Amino acid sequence: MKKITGVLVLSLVLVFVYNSCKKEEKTVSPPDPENEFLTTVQLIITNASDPTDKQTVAVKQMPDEDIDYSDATINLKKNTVYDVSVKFLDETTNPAGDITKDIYDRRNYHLICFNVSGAKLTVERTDKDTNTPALEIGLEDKFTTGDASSGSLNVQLRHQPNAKNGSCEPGSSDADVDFPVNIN
Amino acid sequence: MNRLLLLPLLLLPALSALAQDCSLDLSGYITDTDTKEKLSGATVLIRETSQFMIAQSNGFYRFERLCPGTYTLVVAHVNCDTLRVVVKLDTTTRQDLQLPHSRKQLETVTITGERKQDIATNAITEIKARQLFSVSGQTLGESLKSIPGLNSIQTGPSVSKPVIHGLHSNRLLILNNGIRQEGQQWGTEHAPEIDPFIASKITVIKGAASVRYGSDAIVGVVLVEPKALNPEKKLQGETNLVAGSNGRAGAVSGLAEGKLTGALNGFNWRMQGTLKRAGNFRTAHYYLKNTGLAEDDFSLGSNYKNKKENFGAEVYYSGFHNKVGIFEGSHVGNVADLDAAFKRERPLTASFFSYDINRTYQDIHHQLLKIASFYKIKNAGKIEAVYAYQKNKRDEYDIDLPYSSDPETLKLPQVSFQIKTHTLDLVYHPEVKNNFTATYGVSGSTQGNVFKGIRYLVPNFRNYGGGAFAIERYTKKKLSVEAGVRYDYRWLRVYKLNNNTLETYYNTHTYQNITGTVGNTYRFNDKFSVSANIGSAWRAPSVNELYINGIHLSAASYEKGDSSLRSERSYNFTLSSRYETNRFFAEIVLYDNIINNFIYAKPALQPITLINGTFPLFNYTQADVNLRGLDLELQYSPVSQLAVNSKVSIVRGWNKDIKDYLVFMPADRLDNTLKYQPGNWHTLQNCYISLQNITVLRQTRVPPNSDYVPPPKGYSLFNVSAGFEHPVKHKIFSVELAAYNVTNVAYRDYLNRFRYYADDLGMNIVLRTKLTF
Repeated sequence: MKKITGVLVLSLVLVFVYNSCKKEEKTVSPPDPENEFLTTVQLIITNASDPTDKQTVAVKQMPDEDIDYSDATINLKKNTVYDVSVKFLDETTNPAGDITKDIYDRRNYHLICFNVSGAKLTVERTDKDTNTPALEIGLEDKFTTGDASSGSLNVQLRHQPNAKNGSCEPGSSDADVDFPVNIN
Repeated sequence: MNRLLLLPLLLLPALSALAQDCSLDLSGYITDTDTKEKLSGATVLIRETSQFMIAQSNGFYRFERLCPGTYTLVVAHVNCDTLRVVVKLDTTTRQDLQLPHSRKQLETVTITGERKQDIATNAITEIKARQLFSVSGQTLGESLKSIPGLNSIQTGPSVSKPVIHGLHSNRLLILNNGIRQEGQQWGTEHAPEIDPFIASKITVIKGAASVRYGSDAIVGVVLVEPKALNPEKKLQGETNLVAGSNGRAGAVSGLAEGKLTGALNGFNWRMQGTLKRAGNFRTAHYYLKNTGLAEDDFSLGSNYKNKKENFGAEVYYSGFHNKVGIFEGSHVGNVADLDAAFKRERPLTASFFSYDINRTYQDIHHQLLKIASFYKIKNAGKIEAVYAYQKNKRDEYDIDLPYSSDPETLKLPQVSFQIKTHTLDLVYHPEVKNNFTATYGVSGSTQGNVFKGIRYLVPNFRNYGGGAFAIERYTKKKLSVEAGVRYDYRWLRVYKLNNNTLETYYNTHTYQNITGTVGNTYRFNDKFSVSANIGSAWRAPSVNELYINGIHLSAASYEKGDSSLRSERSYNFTLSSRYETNRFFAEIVLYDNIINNFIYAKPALQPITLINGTFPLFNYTQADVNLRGLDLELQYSPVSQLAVNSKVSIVRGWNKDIKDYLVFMPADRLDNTLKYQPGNWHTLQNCYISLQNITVLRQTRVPPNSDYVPPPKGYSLFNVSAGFEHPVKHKIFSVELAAYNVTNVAYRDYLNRFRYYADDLGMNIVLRTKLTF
């Protein structure tokens, strides 16, 4: 009996030791290619009465790097109306991945929030989701400037699964960046 | 695997009865060992025949018409430890029974198959029998809070980890049926993957215990111990049913075990399983959305002992699985969200009841296989060998779906860990000689961790560990002295991916440590004893402390590891004293735990700005700290039916390097209970009713800039419980009805990480039943 049990125990141990030698940990799984990283918040700003007056600004952060504001400054004309598109990109790939589409697909769970400080700028969202009643999304917006001033524009992508109610409060921020604003 | 193990259990031989002269009587008086008082209302059960009776008012019991044979009497009384006596009956016999009254005195508890602790001079507390029944259905962390010096660190209502003397996670070791629990212990939201229903006893060793148990036993050890598999009958067991009003929670747990006879004599078997379900829990004023849980656990065991009882072997397998919803209101992206959350009077999430568990949730599997055997060498002691394999898988699903249009990617967990551990321990207990007892052992382990996830958290690793120890104890009359020493070596290789070249590279770390313990106990008389212990313990930095680099979502903080961290070492001084008479019990434990190179996440002065907002930055670093404190328990019974019990737990954590307090230390806690035990009432045995008040003061000793909000104010809760035992057809039926937080106080606890977002639980009425057959 003793011997049988001993042999049994030993063989089981060997089986597990053998299994443990497969060393799965040596294979470090690369990032999921289907998963996109939000690296860039981009605003495409077009003068509503002059489509040639168009600018693209962006706040960008690549993995393991500091946040980059070098293309972030928005220069606007006073007392003017602009059409604005907000884009979210994954620039870790070439060409850059467009996350805006994923956000639009789940538009009933997302809201873009704007907070202006200092500058004489008002922002209105012009697009709607398919909630009942339909709620704003904010991927398409209208910027209206006042007198010459400067300040900053905070843009937040609010993720509000099963909680979207039109206000910015529910949910969490997937993006939260500041653009410097100059109105001349 | 499961099916293989089930097979011998299904091959139970048919029950056989022998015709014999069955006219023998067994009778006697049951008295209290200490007071010599006749114990009325003591219960006596013959395990083999399931015959059950209650002693008369003069402590007399009598069983009639018994067949000759060997019987095990299980004698229980509300004030005493349960006693088991084996009686060989070949003629009518008078057997007087003495029950040890001292429910707390470890030395007097000698239940068959129970192991004594290898280090006995630390402060040791056990929860078993009636006390364990009164916490059934709770998480392991919550179950232990009745012990002075213990707390739990919580992440909402269903994730709870034990805290001993202020520390937890990697600094506290949990042994599940004798095996070091190996999962992702480093996370405060990673609760131990153990079904408390497997335990017939939970032992807590407070103090540094690395000498016996290896690394990580910095503040203590929690031993979750099933009853020794030594059934007296061919089929016996118990069923537990627990129902709670809060969360409309339910738990069912069953255990069946038996001994095999005939050709398979010497073999025993056991099967055990638990199912738990709960929906959204409720605070005093609102429900917590998505806080349900579903759990299914089982264990199978079988052992063999030869006739001479000098050789035995055991196989044990357990599977744990749970799915725990994480409160939706704790969903924050950055510090701005967190700020907004704790400025709110109540969470924004809708308040309703549901059993649904949605993202965010954790899905955890833990499997344990244990193979153990012992051999007793004639006049030379006992050798034990224990091999264990554990596989722990933890998947965490965030409410934020990844940005992807691929449906398969959308279904993946954001983080997934799998850790496999093999351990082998050899222990030798030489024969007790000239008042010396000893334990010598060697142990080895290897562990592989595989991380997969959409966001990076910790790297893959492999580690090997080895250790050897020796503990000697000398006991003579009133004095016992013990000393132990241990050497440990640990090799860790971490595999990482270079994100640019996609090539794997590795870093290797090695750690070695020598730890020791010395202690003594002096028993002035049978009422009063004093113990002192100096122990050391160590812990290697965990992989998150070395390599984490990312956002800790539920805490809205950004953590950075440091791969140059060294081992943490502790020197723990414990002085404990116990005084006990019939009417009075007092135990005091004083400790000073000096921890050098204590690893903690230090708040950086500058926050870190990322595309998704601003996060406070925490860097892992080391400092010399100490934790001092006091655990006190007093009990007084003016009359035997009435008992007043008071417990006090105080701990102070101090960082000597920055000359400030340690963060997240438990606040001072007072636990007072008034218990009335009228004894028997009609057919109901051991009736009792108790009123408990738990008061937790506000934690005022916190370092600046290490937390987002000041600690919550203190609170005071009232709990009421009543219960009895009822013999039904040779079975014992135990019932308890308890109401927690009866005044429905809205409160927040400093150690509950969800205090940022919501109140703690409101009133909960729990019905517990247990049938032992």
